[in-house]
Amino acid sequence: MIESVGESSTGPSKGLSKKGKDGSEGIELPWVEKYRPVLLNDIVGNIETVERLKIIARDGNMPHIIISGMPGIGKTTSVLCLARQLLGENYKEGVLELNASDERGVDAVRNRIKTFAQKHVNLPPGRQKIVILDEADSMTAAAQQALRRTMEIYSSTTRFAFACNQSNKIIEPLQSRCAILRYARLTDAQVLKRLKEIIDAESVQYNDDGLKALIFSAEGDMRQAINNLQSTVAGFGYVNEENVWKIVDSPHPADVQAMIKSCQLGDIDSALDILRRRLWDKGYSAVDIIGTMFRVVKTVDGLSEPERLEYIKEIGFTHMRILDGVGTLLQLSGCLARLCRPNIR
Amino acid sequence: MQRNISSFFRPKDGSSQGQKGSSAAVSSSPPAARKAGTDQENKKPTSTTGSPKSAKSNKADDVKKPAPKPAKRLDSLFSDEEEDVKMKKPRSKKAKDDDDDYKDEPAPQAVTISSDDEDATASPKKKKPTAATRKRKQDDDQTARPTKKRAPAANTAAKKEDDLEVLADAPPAKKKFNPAEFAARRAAVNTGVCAELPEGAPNCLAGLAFVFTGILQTLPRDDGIALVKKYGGLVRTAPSRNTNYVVLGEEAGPKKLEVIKKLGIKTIDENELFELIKTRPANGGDTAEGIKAQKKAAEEEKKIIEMSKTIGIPEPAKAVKASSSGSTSSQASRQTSEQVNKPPRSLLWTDKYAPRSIKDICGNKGAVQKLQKWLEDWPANLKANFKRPGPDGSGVFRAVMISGPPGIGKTTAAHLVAELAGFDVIETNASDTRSKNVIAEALGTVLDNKSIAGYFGETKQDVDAAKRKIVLIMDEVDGTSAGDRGGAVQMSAFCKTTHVPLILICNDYSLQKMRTFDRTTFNIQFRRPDANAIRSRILSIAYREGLKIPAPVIDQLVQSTHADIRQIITLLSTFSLGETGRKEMSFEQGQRMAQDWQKHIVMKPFDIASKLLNGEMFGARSRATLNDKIELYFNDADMSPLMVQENYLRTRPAAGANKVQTLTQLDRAASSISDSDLVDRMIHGSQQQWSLMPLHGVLSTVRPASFVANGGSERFMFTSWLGNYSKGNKLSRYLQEIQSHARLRISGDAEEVRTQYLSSFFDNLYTPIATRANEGGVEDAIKFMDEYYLTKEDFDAVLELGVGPKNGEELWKKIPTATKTAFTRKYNTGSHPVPFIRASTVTDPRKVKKEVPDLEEAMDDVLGEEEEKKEEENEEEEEEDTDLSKDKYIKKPKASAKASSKATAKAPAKAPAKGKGKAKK
Repeated sequence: MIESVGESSTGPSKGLSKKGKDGSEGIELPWVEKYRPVLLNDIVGNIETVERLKIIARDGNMPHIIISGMPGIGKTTSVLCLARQLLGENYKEGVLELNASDERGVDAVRNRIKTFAQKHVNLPPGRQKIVILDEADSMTAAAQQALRRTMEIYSSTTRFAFACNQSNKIIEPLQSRCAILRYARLTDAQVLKRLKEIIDAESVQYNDDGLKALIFSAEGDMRQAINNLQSTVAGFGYVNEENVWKIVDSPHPADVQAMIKSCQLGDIDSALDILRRRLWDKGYSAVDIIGTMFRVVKTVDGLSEPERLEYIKEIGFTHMRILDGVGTLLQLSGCLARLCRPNIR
Repeated sequence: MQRNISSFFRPKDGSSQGQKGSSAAVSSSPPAARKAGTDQENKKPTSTTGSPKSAKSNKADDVKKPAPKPAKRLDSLFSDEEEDVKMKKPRSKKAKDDDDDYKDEPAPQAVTISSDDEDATASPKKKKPTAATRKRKQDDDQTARPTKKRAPAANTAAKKEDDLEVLADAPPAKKKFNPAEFAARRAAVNTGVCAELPEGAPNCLAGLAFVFTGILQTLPRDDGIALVKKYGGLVRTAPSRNTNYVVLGEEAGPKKLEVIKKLGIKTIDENELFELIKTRPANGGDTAEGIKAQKKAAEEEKKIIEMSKTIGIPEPAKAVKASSSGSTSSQASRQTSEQVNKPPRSLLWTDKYAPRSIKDICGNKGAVQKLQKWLEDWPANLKANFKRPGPDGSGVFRAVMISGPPGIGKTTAAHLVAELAGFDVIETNASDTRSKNVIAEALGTVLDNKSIAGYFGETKQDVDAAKRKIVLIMDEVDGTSAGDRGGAVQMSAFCKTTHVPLILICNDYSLQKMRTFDRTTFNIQFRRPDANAIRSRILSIAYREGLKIPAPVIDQLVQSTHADIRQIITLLSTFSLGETGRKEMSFEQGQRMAQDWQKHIVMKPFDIASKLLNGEMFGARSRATLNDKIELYFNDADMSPLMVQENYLRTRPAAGANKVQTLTQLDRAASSISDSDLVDRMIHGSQQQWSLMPLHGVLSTVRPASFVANGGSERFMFTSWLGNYSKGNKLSRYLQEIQSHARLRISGDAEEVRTQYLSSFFDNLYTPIATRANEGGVEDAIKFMDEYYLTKEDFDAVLELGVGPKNGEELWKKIPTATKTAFTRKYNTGSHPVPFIRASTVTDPRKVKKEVPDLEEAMDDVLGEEEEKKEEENEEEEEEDTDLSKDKYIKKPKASAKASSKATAKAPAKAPAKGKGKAKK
């Protein structure tokens, strides 16, 4: 099954890339847009859910859906692909797409969406008009309330698709009306596969470590991975680990993790050494370093919860001092010393 | 590093997975072989791939394997586990096939109900207890057990292998929290730790009722309950006569034990429970309970089939009719019926299976009846002018308010009832604008309408007889928002005067904005129906759609969706979209799906507080990560710190063995809260450092809770900070007022008034009245007030501002009413100097113009003649006021008439007081 998905996904992207090269060299789309999947088959990851969407695309009669998940994992793309596949050439008349950049307060819902729902469009049987509400978690509760009965009354002609990051921002009555599809973060292998396709299409020079760094920094966010890839290529022309980290430019979590580990052991010298050589001397700002420390401590292994909370408190206070304008190495060193203190015997 | 990447480059789904699969198969075969003999082992590989069913399951596996799991390691762990489950089934089936020649009979899992064969529908339940099958079952059990033992082994083997492979890139896998990952890990933990979870015959606990009490040793109670439910057992919360077994853990409540002893219920521990599951035959076998349960199940099934014919769009009825009528016409009519059938395909299930009659509504029978009765009696009540309350008191209301959580059929019920009672429905909902004016205009005309719907029907003669009436349904009343200001009030005003019945629907009746409907509507509450009410309906829908869903799965769905029928139906329709062969939902699938579909709603402050301060989340067995707890804070970042601050003293800290320790914990919590205020100042202050939000969450909410959390014994309170804050504002406003009045005599600012003057004010105002009211005390107090330009409001404020022994409000209550009224009367009759006039009390426009400079100068330090002049005017004004209050009612019409004739266009609508004042001059 996955093979077939892979093949079809390379197909259009290759075609696209050729077009881009043959056509105008001056204007180049961001790769994220250039390689945005057009068909559901091209969507990477969340196989089971996308499989359902494909069935919907084939059979029609789409239920109201909510797709929720982290950024950059294909929510909007899935919805757009689904709409495109369902409606084909009627896409233009049959789809109303609103995202957070559009006005969609209560009034917009009452006027624009309701009018659209009432509008008659000639569609094949089993197909309905689709209202796509992207970034639906940024809609006000009142606007969502106004959607409730609209979704029911016009359900024979209009279906709704919501895409959002946090499904808890959608009011309960709407959730109760919708099929809730949760998208999981993409696995590294899935991101890698897609990156490879793009690399092949763009004939990018790379080494494996560079790709690994890209994937690591993206944390399952396909959009970020592709953006970083393009930036690296544009900036350096060659994708290796060093170049990627220059682009991504945040303290390497692994370094910070090692630093925290040293603190746990009470080994202040090596902690300071890491801070000095691997973080500070590379030119990272104190805010970035402390921010990464905060994030790492929240999830790092081997800390009991009280310890973790204590660490967070210390790091947090240092964070405040740094934000106050005292972003010096001394502050960071002091923070490390305080983290070490309970563990020095 | 290099090796890792290369593992990525391998076509992961192909070779690596295949490897894993084969390794699992290899490790699994020895124990199975030990039991089943060598020739079977030879057969096995071919059988698993050969039979159509297993082939399908393999394919399903393939599809599932590359499923997006957050981390590679978890991914493979997860899919392995799934594989185990999947592989077990075909194997045991194969074993059956070897033992007896029952190849033709479908295995219980594979049965799909077909509507034309009544017998076949009952087959999975009826046919099993025959002797042959029971024997088979036993064999089956024996083969099943070894396979089960193998499962953990294979699991760990696979885990190890994976660990090696992933070790190098562990950091990326662990980097950030992800709910899906968490869920996966949880699932893994469950099957890993509690490897001894028994496999039993399906539905083997049918008809048995269990009660869980105390803390079980080897498995969490939830898992135990899930286990019992999975095998068809009932789980009750409290022991009663009908309970068959009590699963007893440690530290069971003494009261429960007593009840158990008294009723003589058999108690077992979890091992005995496992044994029970392993040994009992499917469907409870021929034990008394089993037979009873089977009988009941059969009856239920019959009912469901019966019911499934009546629900939904009545298409099958047509089809049946068509085929039964003559053979020549049947061809044509079938075609038409097919055409008719086409459109419903494009309906949502929720529409397709929407209730068509009152008895289709799940649960809330009483509420629906109430509604029905109210609507039926409405015309009669109208005649009686809503004076007769009737037996349930609904007769005096022209409107009803239906309230209840979403998805339980409120709107449906309202529409059905209206239809049944012969009303036409006009509906407005949140998608219509509902501000005050719009409602006033639109509804005003609607209320006098008559329906003409009947005139377009085929039978015109009925129209006059039926005289279709109108009912107005206003849905989502609580959905009014900022744009709809005044809408609710206007609506409730209509509820008092309406000439058509009005049905209002809302979710949350306890909201502040719903208060206005308290007296004008008859409140009917819809509650979440229980699983029993929903089950049969869902089952019949599933039956109509050819889905097979065991009852326990439905119970589970009901539980996880909070009995939201609409959502369950949507869920099923989505489920049916899966791979086309899949028409049966297993317990595990249901569990996973229910978990996925759990509605994520922003939690209310109370829920956040009780979740945080309940020891559970910080207990040793808690699976909640720090990120989960911080997430709780973000559910309501404004309220949750306040709730923790309010309630952190109401718990009994877990670490508090003695008083000193308790105090230490409380001290830590308090310090953390105060630290959080420092952070808060950076966030909400001038700097706006929003990046500190997580830190604020930890310091203000999570950390204090971690110190003191352990089951609050008292009820949690709503934060009092907000109330105190607004009270503080109010009091400082009073202080400001007093100071601005008294400033003509004193030189202190508001703070000094509070610290220096108030005490003396109190002594000079309250004390004379309290001690010598009859000996001129009242007069003295009034004189003192005049001297400092204090008004009557200031007097009250002084009392309210008193603290400690001078808590004026308390003391004032003790003064005899006669004295108080004497004081008030005395004060009202006299005239009093006022330092300046507030613009709002000035009424005459001409006067205002004149006084504008005065007003400003009054605020200046320069005082003199202006002052006197102003005072005169004040007195004048006060006279007018008193005058008015005396004869307002008598002269009002005349005065207002005069006023309107005289007044400029500017102030025609103002209160008669102004008119009067002007008329006098």
